[in-house]
Amino acid sequence: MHEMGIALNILDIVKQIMISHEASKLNSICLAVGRFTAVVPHSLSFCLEIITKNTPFEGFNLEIEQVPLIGRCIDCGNEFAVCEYRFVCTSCGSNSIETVSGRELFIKEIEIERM
Amino acid sequence: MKIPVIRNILEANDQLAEINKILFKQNNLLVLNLMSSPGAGKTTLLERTVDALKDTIRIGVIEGDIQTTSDAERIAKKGVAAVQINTDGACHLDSKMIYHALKEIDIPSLDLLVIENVGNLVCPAEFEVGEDHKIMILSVTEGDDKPLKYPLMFSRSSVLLINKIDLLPYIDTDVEKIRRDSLGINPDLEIFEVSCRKQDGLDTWFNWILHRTPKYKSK
Repeated sequence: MHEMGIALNILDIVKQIMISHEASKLNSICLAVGRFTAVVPHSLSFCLEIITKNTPFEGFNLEIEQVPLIGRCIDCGNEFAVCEYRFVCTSCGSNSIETVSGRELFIKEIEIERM
Repeated sequence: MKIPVIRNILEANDQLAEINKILFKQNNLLVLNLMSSPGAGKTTLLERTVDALKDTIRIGVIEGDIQTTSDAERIAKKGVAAVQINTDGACHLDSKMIYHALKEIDIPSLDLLVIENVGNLVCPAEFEVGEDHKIMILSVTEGDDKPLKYPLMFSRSSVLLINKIDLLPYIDTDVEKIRRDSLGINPDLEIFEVSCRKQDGLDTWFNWILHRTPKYKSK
């Protein structure tokens, strides 16, 4: 539902980088999106397509890397994939779990052509 | 030519949230971001909270809705400062909307600011506004499957108020399942079972607020 706002933020950041690198064309954007974010990759892709249509940014290739939800047990150090959002250690049963990955929402890389 | 970036997509929102946070800290204010699905009882909880605490601490409210000013009017009737934000379609409040709303509210004169977010169990959890705590309400009529369906909000909140418990005799919702699944997602979550309509169980909530209000504690 809020993917449009996120898409606009992405385009803002991409524009800043393109200007600072004197880029003339955007070839691709690579995003990292964690499984434990409120972002639906399909909607995000759709929104980016709409806001770049008929602009100089149109037609770039979007790659979204989905990052799995991984927890680490603070008591025993076990790292495990969190299933069904149960933050309980699969080894010792502790519920002191820190999130190692899954909350990512960042631009990893863009590919541009210089003027 | 590939350019490595590694930039947080929500950086603009997060940076302004930090500025809001500094403003709140400078004014020694407790700020709560109240979230739930539509109709869970956010505004009614606020009315009860204002009634109970307005003679003890000074309260201000920012009301977020897609349209209408009816919630701010309900709160203003209670005699506290209330500002309405209409998001014109946006499904959550962000730090910029709060930053602008702060111009319309005299924050140095407040002890507690409650931000009532747009009714939605998904998006508000992703957008920091500079609050001290996220508070969520789940009404029992929404069903006991919600923690596992909307885990992000449960994981980001400090308090879960399970509301409308007076309706439990008429429905199949299993409150123990809500507790178990919520604590599985967030073991630090404090859970209060309440009925805003019958005014049951609210004292623990009022005390929770008072114990975290800097200006009340220093009195």
